[in-house]
Amino acid sequence: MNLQNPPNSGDSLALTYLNDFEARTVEAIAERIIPADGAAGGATQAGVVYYIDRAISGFSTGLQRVYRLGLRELERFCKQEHSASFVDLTAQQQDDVVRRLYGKETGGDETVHPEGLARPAMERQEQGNEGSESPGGINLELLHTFFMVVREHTVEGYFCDPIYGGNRDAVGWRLVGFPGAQWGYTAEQMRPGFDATQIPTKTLSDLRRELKNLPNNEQFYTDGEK
Amino acid sequence: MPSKKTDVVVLGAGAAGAIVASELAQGGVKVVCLDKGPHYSDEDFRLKHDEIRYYARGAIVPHMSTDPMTWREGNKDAATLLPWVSGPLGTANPLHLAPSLGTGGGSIHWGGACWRFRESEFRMKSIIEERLGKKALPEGSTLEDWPISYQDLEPYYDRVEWELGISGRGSNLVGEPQPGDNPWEAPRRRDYPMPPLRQGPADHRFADACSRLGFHPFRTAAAIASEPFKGRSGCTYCGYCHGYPCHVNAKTSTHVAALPAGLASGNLEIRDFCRAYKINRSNDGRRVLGVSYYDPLGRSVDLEADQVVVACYALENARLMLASGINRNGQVGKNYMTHAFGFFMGLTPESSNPFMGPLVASTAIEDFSGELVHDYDPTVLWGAPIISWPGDFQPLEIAQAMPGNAPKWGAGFRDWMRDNYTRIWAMYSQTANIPTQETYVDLDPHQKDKYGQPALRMTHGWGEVDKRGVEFLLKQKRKIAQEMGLLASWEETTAPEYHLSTHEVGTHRMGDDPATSVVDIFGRSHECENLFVIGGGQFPGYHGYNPTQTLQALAYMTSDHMLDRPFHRSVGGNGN
Repeated sequence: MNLQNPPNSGDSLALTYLNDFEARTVEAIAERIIPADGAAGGATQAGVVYYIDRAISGFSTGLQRVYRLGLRELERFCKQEHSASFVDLTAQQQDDVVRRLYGKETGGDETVHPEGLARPAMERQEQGNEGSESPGGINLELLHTFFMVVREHTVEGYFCDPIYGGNRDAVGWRLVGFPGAQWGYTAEQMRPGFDATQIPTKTLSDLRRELKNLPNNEQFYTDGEK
Repeated sequence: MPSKKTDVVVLGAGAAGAIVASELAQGGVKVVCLDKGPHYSDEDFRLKHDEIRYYARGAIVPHMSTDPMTWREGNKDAATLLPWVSGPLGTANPLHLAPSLGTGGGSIHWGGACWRFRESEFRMKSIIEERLGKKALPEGSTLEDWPISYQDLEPYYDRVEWELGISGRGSNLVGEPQPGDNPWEAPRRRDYPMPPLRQGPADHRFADACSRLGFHPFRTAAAIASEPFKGRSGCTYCGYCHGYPCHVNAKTSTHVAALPAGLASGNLEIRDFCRAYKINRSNDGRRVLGVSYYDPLGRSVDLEADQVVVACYALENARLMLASGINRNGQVGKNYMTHAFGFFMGLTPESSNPFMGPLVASTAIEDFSGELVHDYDPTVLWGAPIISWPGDFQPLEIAQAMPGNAPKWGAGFRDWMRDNYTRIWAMYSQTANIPTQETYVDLDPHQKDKYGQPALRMTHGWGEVDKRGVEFLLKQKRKIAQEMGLLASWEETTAPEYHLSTHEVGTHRMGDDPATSVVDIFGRSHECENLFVIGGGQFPGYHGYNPTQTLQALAYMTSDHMLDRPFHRSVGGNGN
């Protein structure tokens, strides 16, 4: 292996919890939550699904069942309503599904805080509340919980440091104009009206690379041209 | 298992505990300091620029799974685990939890807002009654004046500023005829040791608008070094500040500002990952013998000490006392007070670059503070400063703080973030609830932590007078926003959903009367003569200011008292 150019694990397609079909479904949902618009990449280009996959195999193992059962239920729902898998629906149909199960884009439910907060959402599900079911026996409450989780995870995966698997090539940061992990900002950069898009975006990897040669903090805490 | 006896054990190496531990050690006292979290080194935070780790996942704050806490609005309601700290992912927003664990405690993740309380704050109850009548305070109010005055505390405020390092510009220096920007600042013996931080980009717009409106803007003091201070770097304005540790030790966190001197004395031992669960007492209950704690491997250890200092935050202090049965007069946990922020966010016409600088790189006005508000609206009991919050906003935090009518997903959500993130600016104020017989903490009868210890239960709702204070200040903020030319704005409600703001106080009130208070002015327990319980829990009233500088001033008072140094008191001595 060439140590000078190690493989870029940030572009890995490997999965640590979700199966391939689940990952493609999560990716399709995430793309509806943050769609690409041509100029700017959406959740797919940002690799949000890899953020989510690593989150639920690592930090949030308690949410594994929300994903597995939620995805299974979503398939049942889509088969019943559209006779197709979520990934095979048109973008408009997918948006309709999200509207139905999560809520409208605007003016929908405020973020709901379900009971039993410290516990993973699925445990709450199992604790006696059978949830609201549609005529076809679809567990809509489970699906609403699932979509709330995916929505939060998608936003996290779009704006996280790329080390977490999402925000690849700083797609999310570049969209909103966030320069990322900066050691500091100078007086000149903090002047009102400064065009911050001039500042090269940095990630935690960039910062770690620079640790051996730390910047002189004086350039940040002095006011320079006084 | 027993551990070798020590002179003093300090529980909690946070904003107050680290000061006492370090001061006592430097005074020749053998101190063991326990903390639930890690003892942090300089290296731990070099790469702290991580919103997932510190904000979304709350890497340094307590979580409900290890430190459960319950809440109910009224004392007839059923309590649930804090409903506002946890989103769909089961993770916590660190702004509305108890402060960080580990050495430095809340002073690691704080925003660093530093305030001295003004003179009148110490007489809040009397002033309200004198000016608005005895019936102005709500029924069941338990508000009291402070048993000490501003003058009593002034030397200790000064010590916090010069020992620990605070940046700011004083307006009312004793002996200087020319007043500064803030006409209502209480007198101070000397200026801050460092000039104010550089302002965040959009802070100028707030300051200018306030001037045009005839208000009196001044620079907020900050527990962040604006230039090198005692071997620590000046601030680099990286913009990952509140909720984050500092990567260059510019922030005045006690693990770098207080503990090193104590450790250098050779008299201070820090035991990290140790969780005190009981204060042990003599058979007659009048003295404490030491504490029992769980060590990092979960083994129970009994540590004897001549004196015990409990400095685990207003909430855990009360919980630990109650769990240890120290509550003879029934006052432990009463008089709970916290802050509502009246958070107000808006969009500036030009780029605000809100990712730059700390939130305290800011300006404030005191035109409506404390009793000054009565001249504008006498139905408001007590006012507070309005403070600009120009920076320290990362994208996730903003995505979670969007206005209620903004799209939550889809192209609209994406475009909102794209168009607005770099124009975000905010202001806030901090109004305290009036403590009543229905604002208190006690042990939850059902909820236990994983060690089997009872969880703390909060009972707290926002009262009508509390809401009026928030609403009055929101009105002023709307005026300021208009003058600033903000393109859009949105605001928190007058009765926010949280009841815990990282600014909790009052739960072990200090006073001279052992029947109506828990500790004396030095934090010494009325019930156990060699027990000190310190921090914001000592406050008998609460005001429009962050509590930390005041509770740190009190910690220096406690340290001096324990080291038999003199204290000069100007008021009282025989009850409130």
